[in-house]
Amino acid sequence: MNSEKLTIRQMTLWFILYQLGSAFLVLPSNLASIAKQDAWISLLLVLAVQMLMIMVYAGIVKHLYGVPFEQYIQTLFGKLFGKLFLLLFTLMFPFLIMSLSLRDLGEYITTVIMPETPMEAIFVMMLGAVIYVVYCGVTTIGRAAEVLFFLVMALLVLGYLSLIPTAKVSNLLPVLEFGWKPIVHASLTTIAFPYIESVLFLYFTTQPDKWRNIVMKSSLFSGVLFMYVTLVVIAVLSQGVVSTLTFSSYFVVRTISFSDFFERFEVAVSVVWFIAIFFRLSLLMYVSVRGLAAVFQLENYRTLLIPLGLIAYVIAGVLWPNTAVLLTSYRIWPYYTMIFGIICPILIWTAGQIKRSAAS
Amino acid sequence: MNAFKRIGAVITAILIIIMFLSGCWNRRELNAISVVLAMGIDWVDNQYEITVQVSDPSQMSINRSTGQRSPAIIFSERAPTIFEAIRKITTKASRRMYLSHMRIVIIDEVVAERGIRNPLDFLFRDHEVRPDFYMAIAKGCSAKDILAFVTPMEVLPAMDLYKSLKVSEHAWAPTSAVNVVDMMQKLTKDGIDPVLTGITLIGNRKKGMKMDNVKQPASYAEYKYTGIGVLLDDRIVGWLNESKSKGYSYITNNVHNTVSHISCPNSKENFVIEVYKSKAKITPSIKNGNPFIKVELRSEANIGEYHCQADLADEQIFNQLQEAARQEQKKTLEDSIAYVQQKFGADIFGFGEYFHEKYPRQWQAWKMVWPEVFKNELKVEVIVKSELHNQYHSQAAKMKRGAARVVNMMILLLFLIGAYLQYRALLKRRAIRDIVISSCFLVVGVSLVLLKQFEVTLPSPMTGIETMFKPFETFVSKLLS
Amino acid sequence: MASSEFSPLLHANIERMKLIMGFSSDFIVRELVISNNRKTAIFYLDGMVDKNELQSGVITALLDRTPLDSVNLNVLREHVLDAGEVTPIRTVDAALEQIFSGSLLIMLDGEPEGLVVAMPGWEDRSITESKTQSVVRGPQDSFTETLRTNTTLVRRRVKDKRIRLITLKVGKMTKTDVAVMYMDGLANDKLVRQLIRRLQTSKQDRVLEGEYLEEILHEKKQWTIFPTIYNTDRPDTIAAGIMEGKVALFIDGTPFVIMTPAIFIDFIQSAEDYYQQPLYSTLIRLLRYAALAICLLVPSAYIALTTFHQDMLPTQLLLSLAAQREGVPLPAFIEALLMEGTFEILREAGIRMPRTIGQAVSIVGTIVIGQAAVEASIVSAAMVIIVAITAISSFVIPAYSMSIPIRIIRFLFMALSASFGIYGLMIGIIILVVHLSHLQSFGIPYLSPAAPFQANNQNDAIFRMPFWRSTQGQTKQDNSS
Repeated sequence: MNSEKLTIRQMTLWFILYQLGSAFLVLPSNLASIAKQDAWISLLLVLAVQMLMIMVYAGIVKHLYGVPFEQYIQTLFGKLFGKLFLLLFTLMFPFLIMSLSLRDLGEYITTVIMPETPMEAIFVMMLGAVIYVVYCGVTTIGRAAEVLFFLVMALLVLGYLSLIPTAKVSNLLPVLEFGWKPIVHASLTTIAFPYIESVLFLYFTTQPDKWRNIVMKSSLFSGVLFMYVTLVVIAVLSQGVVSTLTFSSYFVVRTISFSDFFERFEVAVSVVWFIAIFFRLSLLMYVSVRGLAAVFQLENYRTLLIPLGLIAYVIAGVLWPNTAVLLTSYRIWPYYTMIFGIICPILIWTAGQIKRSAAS
Repeated sequence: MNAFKRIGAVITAILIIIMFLSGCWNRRELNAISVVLAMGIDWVDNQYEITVQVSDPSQMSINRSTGQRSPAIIFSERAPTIFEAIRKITTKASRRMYLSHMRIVIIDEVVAERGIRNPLDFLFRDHEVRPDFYMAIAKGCSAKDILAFVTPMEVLPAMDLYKSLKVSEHAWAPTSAVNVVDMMQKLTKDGIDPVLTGITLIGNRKKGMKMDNVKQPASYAEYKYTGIGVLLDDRIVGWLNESKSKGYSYITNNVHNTVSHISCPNSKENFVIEVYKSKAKITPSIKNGNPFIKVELRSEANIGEYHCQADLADEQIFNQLQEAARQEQKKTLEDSIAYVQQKFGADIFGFGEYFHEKYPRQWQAWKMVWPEVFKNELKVEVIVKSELHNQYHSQAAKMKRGAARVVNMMILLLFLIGAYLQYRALLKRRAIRDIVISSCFLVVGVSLVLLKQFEVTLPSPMTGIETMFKPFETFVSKLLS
Repeated sequence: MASSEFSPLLHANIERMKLIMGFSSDFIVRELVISNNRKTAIFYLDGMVDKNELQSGVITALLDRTPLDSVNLNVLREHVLDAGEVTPIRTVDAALEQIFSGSLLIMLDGEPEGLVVAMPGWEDRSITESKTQSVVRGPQDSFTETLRTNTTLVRRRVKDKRIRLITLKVGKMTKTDVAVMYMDGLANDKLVRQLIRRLQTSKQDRVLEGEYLEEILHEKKQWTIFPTIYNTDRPDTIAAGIMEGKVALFIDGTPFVIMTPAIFIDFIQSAEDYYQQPLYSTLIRLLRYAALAICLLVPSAYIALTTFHQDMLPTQLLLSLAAQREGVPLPAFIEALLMEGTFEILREAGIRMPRTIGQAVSIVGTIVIGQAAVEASIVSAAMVIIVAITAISSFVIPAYSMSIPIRIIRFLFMALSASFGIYGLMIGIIILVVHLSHLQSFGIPYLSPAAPFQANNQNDAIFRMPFWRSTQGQTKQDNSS
């Protein structure tokens, strides 16, 4: 399993795409509905928290000594408890997020692009691509990320740089009108979605000494990008408008129109989102099958791809009956993920530390 | 011998050539026929007046000279029967009338009052006529007027009429696109009476028939489908207005998608619902010897526009809205049924047929007097169990269950094929453990898909998470606001 | 055959040889009596040996110059025969093999041995201009059907002692000469060994063209329609490849030499890129990538935009497209399929037609069919433009073997975007990129140096850096992998 290699560059690009794939479209609206025009400040807070968390994760990476994460858990907690922990963790965290992301994609396409297409068909197209790529292995995913990252960046630059002329700084004022509380509150969502999910990157520790740098770089990159997008979206549309829209990052590109020709390329944003969510899903799928393969001691994780894909397909369909429920879920989701993203890693780290001192 | 052979060959060749030459009895070059797109049937001077609208092909070609000639031509002729009238048209036109592409037939109100069975009979028998055209009744004007009228959107008026009826039936319930097969069926059954959509011209009719009609953005005259005409047997007896027509569409399961406004529970404003799925279930029963019908309507709707003051996210408010919507639907249905019962006694809803199916014996007794029974004895109870969804975007057709189910099955098949291929390869490598574990997961997946196929409501993992973590959320929200 | 050894009796040998060859009319046995009344016979295949040489170097020599005293094969070989390559041979099979490749066999009565004189002299095509990859500036010669000529063309260009040439016979029936050429120390030894092993163990019974080998050379089966082996008839391209450490396979009987490993960018580059100035070549390369994208995406994007995402077209464009589609009876997808299909037929016809007619067909095809189809409003003018652009773009890709998969995938993309719009198209692109990332050509990732990214190899991927900046002109790239 570990013979499959990823270069540092591939890993960084993959992680960036992973982080973009989650919240990119809904982020400005989510933030603006709580933190109003100061939404962008809460991203600073998010990044600060993320840096702290990376320290904890890097601590765990140090304990790993190059052993794969799923093996390490089993030596740390013992075979039985380790497996139990890994099974619950995999099913309740990466696998659930995968179904959730799949549903997000379906939600987006059926609301914005093709309302008449059944979501099932959308799921299966994407799942097909994801299963294929994970089947091909991480090396392939890394290479594909290298190729498609350029496309993503080009389209993002095209879409969001051309918004600058229409941005109004007055929309961002006054700064800190409502104090710090809403900013902190708003940042909770983004910490959970996608940053706390960095715990999953622990599965990619083939280069333990570079790991911290890779994750930091990708988090900073996506964080700055998020901040820029949020700033621009609010500056162009004003916070009142942004908080009523669901997919404001998409909507804002619709407002671009230069000389009646340079316009209507919101499709570019859709393309960015498709690519990003594809890489997000493939990471989640990879981590899920690897975790489960370790639990059941399979020789090859690829066997699990098709069954898990099928289950994810059904679960994505039943996650919530309609969009209204989705919004409340978004509000509660962070508290759930904190168990896996903050409490679990701290637990693992402490256990590792104790074991280490006991050994020495 | 050789000579015989040669003669034989020549004769065969000649025969083959003759066969090819004569093999075109039914051949008609496209430029030798006139394609009839619409037909109008009027009753004038005690004979039928048949009007056909044909396209002028020279005006349809890509390099047409605009404005010179009308793209559609109408011919009309009078005769005691329709067949004669159609044949007589050839005395006026250079090409044969070709009826296969007829899109719509407009019937005059007078003809409808005299009964539509006779005119239909011809259309049903003629081999050229395909039973896929729509029918409508000209209300307040003659069928000829409607066909002679120049429509603004499509170049060919007949196409305009056809498409408009088709689209409006789909997106706006109170019209009914009736094709000739439906019509014949309803005419031959005792327990159901047919309906026909009405069409009328509004505006300046004279000017509407000139090309000038479409030479400015607001046309002088336009057509409009209005309401549903109720037929008792094959004669028209009256018209339903818009809301009653909608009631009819609900009961006969003809609502694909429609929009209605409902007043807010606590304020003067309105909100609009978009019904995207509707199913009426009709159960007949006999109570104290009298027929009794239970109509149970289940529909699903979105909120399309919202002008009420109250907060939609509040569940209580939302339930009030849903209740208001249900009441509104119930009223529509009840009004519609009561009106038809009392005013016309024509069973356009087909309640009689339900009794026919369930109580064949009793039906024999009622059969001959059904209009009377329908009018005086039938009691109807309407139950509405509609659901409202809080969504701003149309979720309309995505809920098309049929499509989703087919997709579901195809997906299952695809995944199973994939799994089979993989297991075959694994078997060669003797990875038994892999196969067993993976097939366990596969069984879970397959059973989930099957449950989905049979529309079992599966519990969402999110519900559990929500109930567990709600307190945290409320606590933090309070802390930080 | 019981024994493959020759018998000492000449007439027995002659009978046996004739029998083996089935008395074929082109198998010539010329019997001579030379000095000492020794009988001798010359065996050869008519047309395979040089007649003039045969006359002057063998027959005249044998008759005139044979010494009187001792006549044996050694004497003949050393003193009599006037030819370059003379070897003694002991078995019938070996002798036949030589005869098939244009040698003649001389046998003396009383000796169970023969002499094989290599004297190939069949008709070949002379070296002409490259038919498939022509350049404006650069060498104009191309390979021919003769193996030796081809290897010489490369040898002459690269006068380096490290060039190795290994010749094998492949194919049970054809016994085709296959020469493996590489640069010792630059080429990957493992790869060379692997290739030779695959060639030696191949069970192929015929090798008529490089494709027969391409399909058996891979160690691991990869399902792909993309070429992982390069083929060309340009000696300069092969010479350049060998200097980059690639391995070339020359196959006797075809002017196309295959070369491996071959990655994606190899198929996008043309030999002329290095014969023009760097800026121009870079621009042309970018143009080629654009053409590739056009060929792959434009028809499907057109379908997606016109049938799913009309909102993404500028209004003016939308209106003019709508006006063109007015009256077109086919859905856009079918329309595109029809036109692209027609174009593929025309292309195939253009290739297969006798050359003199070919020109006429393509002109008739493109102009007349396109024009007429638009005028008859069977297809819209925009679609004809799309198809024409796609077609022309597909010719821009320098390697024909790369334009084939692009053309096939184009149709898949069209189907995807006809059913899912931009989303389907995007999924298609993602799967394509994943597939290409997964592919390897003999251990080299197909998409390198873009993925995995190699910063020091970027000089010659998309851009063509000047020789003084790149590794191309001066030092050699290292090819370890």
